[in-house]
Amino acid sequence: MTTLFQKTIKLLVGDTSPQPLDFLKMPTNRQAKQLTERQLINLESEIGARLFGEVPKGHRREFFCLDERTWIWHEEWLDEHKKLQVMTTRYEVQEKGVLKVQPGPRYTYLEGEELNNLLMATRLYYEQVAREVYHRDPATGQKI
Amino acid sequence: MNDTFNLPKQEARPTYLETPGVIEAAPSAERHERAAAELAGVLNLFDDTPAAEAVVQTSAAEIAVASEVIDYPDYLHRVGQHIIAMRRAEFDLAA
Repeated sequence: MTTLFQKTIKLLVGDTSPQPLDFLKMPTNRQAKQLTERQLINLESEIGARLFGEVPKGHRREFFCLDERTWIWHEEWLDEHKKLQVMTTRYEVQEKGVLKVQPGPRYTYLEGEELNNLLMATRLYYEQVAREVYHRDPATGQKI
Repeated sequence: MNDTFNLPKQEARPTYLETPGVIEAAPSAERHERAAAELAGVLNLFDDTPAAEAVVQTSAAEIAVASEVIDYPDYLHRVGQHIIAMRRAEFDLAA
């Protein structure tokens, strides 16, 4: 009888017994990821863009490591007719060299000074990104 | 627009490329041995570190070795690997 009464009350007023609310608590042993991969790449790209000196007024430049074998140079600017111009260059690191891919499409393997400049740029990128974005010693990889 | 990496001389801020002959010169056996020893030493240091940390630190050591041995596609690949490893470690450390 009591059980029937309790069920009736529960149907009418709902369940008033204390319920564990643990599922509403934020886990304390896990911090939220602060930055997405895209945001990290953006931070890297800000450093990458300034490796080549001041970005001309009206230009937007990005230079970043997309994946283990791909580097991206992207630049946007307004031409004299105020028309947006865009140039994206992809550098693919292959076993036989670095393939430069531009719109067209145009494919060339880097050589000479341009290759040296890319090597220098990636070296500087790596050193500065390690220190400024990931706070690591570029020589050892350990946290600074 | 000029070719992307045909930079004016005055903008060059080299560290790696300033070293005379670092690209063209063939590596000596001594340099190979020294680089290999350095890498082996670093690898042994990080046995107890978490996986992501070990990858980052090992990659850093490998970059140093690759820059010694002039194989530029390999060097660029290792730099890329290290950057990706640092990104992944950032997630692992935040988790």
